[in-house]
Amino acid sequence: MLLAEDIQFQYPNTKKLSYPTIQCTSQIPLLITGESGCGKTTLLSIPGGLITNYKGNVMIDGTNLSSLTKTKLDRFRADYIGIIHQKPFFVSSLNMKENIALAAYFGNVQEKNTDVTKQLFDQLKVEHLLFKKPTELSSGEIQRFSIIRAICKNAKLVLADEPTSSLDNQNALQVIQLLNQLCLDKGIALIIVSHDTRLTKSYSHQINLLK
Amino acid sequence: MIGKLILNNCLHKPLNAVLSIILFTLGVGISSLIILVEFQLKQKLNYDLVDIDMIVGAKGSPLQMVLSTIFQVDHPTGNIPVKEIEKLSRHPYVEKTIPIAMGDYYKESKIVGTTIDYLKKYHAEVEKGRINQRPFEIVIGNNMANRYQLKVGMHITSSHGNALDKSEEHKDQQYLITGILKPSNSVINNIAITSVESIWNIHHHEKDNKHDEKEEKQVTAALIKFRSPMGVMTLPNWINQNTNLQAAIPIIEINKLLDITGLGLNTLKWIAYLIILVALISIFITMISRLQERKVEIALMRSLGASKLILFTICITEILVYCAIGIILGMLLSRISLTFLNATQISIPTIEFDNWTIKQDELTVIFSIIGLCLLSTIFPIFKVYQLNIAKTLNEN
Repeated sequence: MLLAEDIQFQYPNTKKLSYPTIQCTSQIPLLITGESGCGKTTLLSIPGGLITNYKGNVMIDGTNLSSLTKTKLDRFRADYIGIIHQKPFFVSSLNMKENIALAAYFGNVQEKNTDVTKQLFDQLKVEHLLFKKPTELSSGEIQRFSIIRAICKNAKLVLADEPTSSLDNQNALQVIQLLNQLCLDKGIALIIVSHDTRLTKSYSHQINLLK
Repeated sequence: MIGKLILNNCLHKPLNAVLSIILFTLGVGISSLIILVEFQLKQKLNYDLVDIDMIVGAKGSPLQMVLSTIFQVDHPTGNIPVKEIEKLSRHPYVEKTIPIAMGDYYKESKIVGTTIDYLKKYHAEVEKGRINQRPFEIVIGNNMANRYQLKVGMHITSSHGNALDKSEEHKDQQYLITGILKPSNSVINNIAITSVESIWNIHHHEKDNKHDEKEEKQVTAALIKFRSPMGVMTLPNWINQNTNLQAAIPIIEINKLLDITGLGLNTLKWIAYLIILVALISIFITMISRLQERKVEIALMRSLGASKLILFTICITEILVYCAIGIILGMLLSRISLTFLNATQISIPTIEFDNWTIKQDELTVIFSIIGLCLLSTIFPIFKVYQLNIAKTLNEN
């Protein structure tokens, strides 16, 4: 599903970041760990199509990302990739239901995926929160919506950046269980980057990045 | 979905939105009102001037003579002997002469003694009854009839000078209303028209009673139409230099008047444009500050797969929504103000403004505003174009 080889990236005036080969298949989640500043978030931004000026090859489902034009990359990201950000950003003027609908709209799936989204609302127990604004929700609640947003558009690859960093033990466990279960059910390739040691026991496939 | 997003974004900071819309409304409203008043004033003045090449009356202010004789505002400059008018009408350059006898009123509305040619000049048609044919018969303009609830068959008493000037009523002679004219945009809508003989008879009858002396017949002025342009070039100067009459070219006097009022209107117009500019700056600043606040949201939407084109469209549409609301409210404001002007008669009493047509100049203002709005989106669009998605999301 995902193969990233010889990836190198350098921010201006900083040390060059070099990454090992990353391989991830559907239904076997990959946990990438490492200390703060080792480039975990940067690594996730590369297959996410958010950083384009990297060296190396990133193949997703047979497509080489560097061969895509900017417009095609936008479309590819919308169609194939779901991103769960470290801080769960949402459009503040829209309620949660509208935020999810917006993601589905950009992913061109609002019609065919209505049932999937409803199922996710039910499964993640957020139906009573649909008409609330992002600022009215707790960290745990909003992280569940981040997961729904990443998955509702039939993403083939979900990239989760520190999805549990702001959650207490109970919520962190819930979020991880939900993510793993959804990836298994829907055949999604899942990559999580985290420095949260609570997660290490939950994943057999892990890569540790060195600073 | 995008429509919902734009609407919610516009309403997200209602105070900023309301301020920008108020400024737009005021700017568009004032400039549109000035354009409407100026355009319609010129149109109406020109309509009332049709077929009048020259006015002849008593010596005095030529503008006062034009205003009193054609537009029925201001007092006449005096009277002139009829025989002088008759002499003038026989001049080879003169095609038509319409005598005007003024000075009498019914309450606050003028009674004008003239000939049938005066009614023909304004294409007057009778709504009820018939045109006056004999002395002491009178036809009433539609507005005047409505104002005083006058009907065909009623008798009215005229007075010398209007009701506000402690007038002297001609109690011995009454007019019979034979017709009510159809509504029109011209000056005859607000006056009563009778024959010149009726005015003479009333005054002669009173003078007989008081002085018993024979006086030569007089009128207030005469409207002249020339047979050839040579008339305009030669007759006014000749009359002013060689007779006791005063000749004035109405179009010249009105243009002088419009030049003077035009200065005031232009100043107001520039104030309105300044308000529009402030509105644009206000919207621009709002957009920039919203862009700073929404930078993360824009990066988020880009990460969700939104193309730059969609985000440009959102930016532009948000500004155009404010702009469109301001334009619509501004146009409504100018029309309502004009209705108010008409209702309260703050405007020239014999001129009513037609409210709802959109003028060419207004379209120019509207399209200029839309153009400037689009121009003000260039900076936000540039910012969106340059946005580094990963950096923005990771740094916030």
